[in-house]
Amino acid sequence: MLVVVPGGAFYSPPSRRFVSHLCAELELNQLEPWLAITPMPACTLDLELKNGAVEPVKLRSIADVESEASRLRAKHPTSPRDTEKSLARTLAGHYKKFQAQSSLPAPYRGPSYSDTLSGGDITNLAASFEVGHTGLVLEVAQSLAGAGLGLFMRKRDASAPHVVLQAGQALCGYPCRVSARPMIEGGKTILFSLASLDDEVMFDAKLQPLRAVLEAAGPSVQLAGHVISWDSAVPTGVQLSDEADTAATGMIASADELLAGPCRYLVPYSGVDFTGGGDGRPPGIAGVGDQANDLAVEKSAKDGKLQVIDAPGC
Amino acid sequence: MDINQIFRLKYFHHLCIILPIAIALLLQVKGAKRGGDGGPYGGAEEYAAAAEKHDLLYFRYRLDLMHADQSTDSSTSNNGKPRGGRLVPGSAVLVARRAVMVDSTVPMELGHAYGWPYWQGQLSDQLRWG
Repeated sequence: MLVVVPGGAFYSPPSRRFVSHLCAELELNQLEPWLAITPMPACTLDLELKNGAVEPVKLRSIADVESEASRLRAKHPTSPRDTEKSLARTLAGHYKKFQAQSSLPAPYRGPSYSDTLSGGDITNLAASFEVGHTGLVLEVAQSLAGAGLGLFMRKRDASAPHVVLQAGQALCGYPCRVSARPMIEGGKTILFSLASLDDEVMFDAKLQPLRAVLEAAGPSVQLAGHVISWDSAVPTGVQLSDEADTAATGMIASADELLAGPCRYLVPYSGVDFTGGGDGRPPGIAGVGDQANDLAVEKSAKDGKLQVIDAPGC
Repeated sequence: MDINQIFRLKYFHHLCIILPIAIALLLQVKGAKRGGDGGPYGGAEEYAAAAEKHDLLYFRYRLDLMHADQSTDSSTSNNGKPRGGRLVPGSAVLVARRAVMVDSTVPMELGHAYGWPYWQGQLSDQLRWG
């Protein structure tokens, strides 16, 4: 599905007349409903050449400048003043102006194999797939932070559009199942504990505060492993069920039997095949999240390698 | 004893009092900065600072609404009123902590902070189970 949103930006330098407009091309994912990653909008403009011809140009990234300049020059060889170099310079200026207007966030610069002493390519690649047609590629390969696999992210290729991840954007799923015991699998087991009504949860395919979910659901709805206190139809508090004060005033939902007790954990479900299983199914983006490591790391002063700072208590 | 000697003696006494207090205060501040209260969270601030710097992803629970009839298709009954039921954790998601642009073809590792609830849970379990 293609949605074109005209930006309406007009730019008319004195030497040559341009009528450019910014268009946002948003390709919606046919993916999990909670996943709404979109490629960065492409810069499109109508470029008027010196021979009077007007050519539509679409720049998905700065890497497209050279190829578009080359294409225009080949298409209009009779316009001697429009050299490939001058066209490229003009297009680059337009793209930079477009980027500035888009107020893009800072590029992500995480640990990469080029940071290692060997500077080698990615190793032990277990999975690699593009998220929809966004140009964003997720990979599972040898972690730089320690033993085992890790989760990596990159752009598909130089011609692919940049991808912007907004704060709060879901990137991938974290496959897990509920357990009453703290099964520690590489430190990836997580306690199911919501401490505040302001804690954000993914519900109905969007990130929203627990308070909003409860208000929409009403007092008749319980939260597994927790008790919710209500004042009329307004939730006023949430706490783990084993610490519940059942004598508290107001309406209190009873604890969920399945998750009652001192322990309720979300244990990574390693049965998920994130490689796609070789049976034609696409790789499961919902199944790669637990491959990400805790990168509370710092570079060793001794050998420059990344060292993990152990979380206290482990 | 001349006047200079009197002054030296006077300030020496002051130093004897002030210096130990200053050293004790400095040690206390340093210990607090390191999270070194002697408890199980020693080093918490170092860990949190490093995680904040490098862990782009954080964990968010995903909730499903399970109705009394075990269906999860809708949160309302035919008359438009909530049917009741329970919110249960489903397969969770990892979410970007801050806005970033992906502009490089070089694979870069993504960090995910496990989150304090896990470690707090571990500690409280140790306390519970002795």
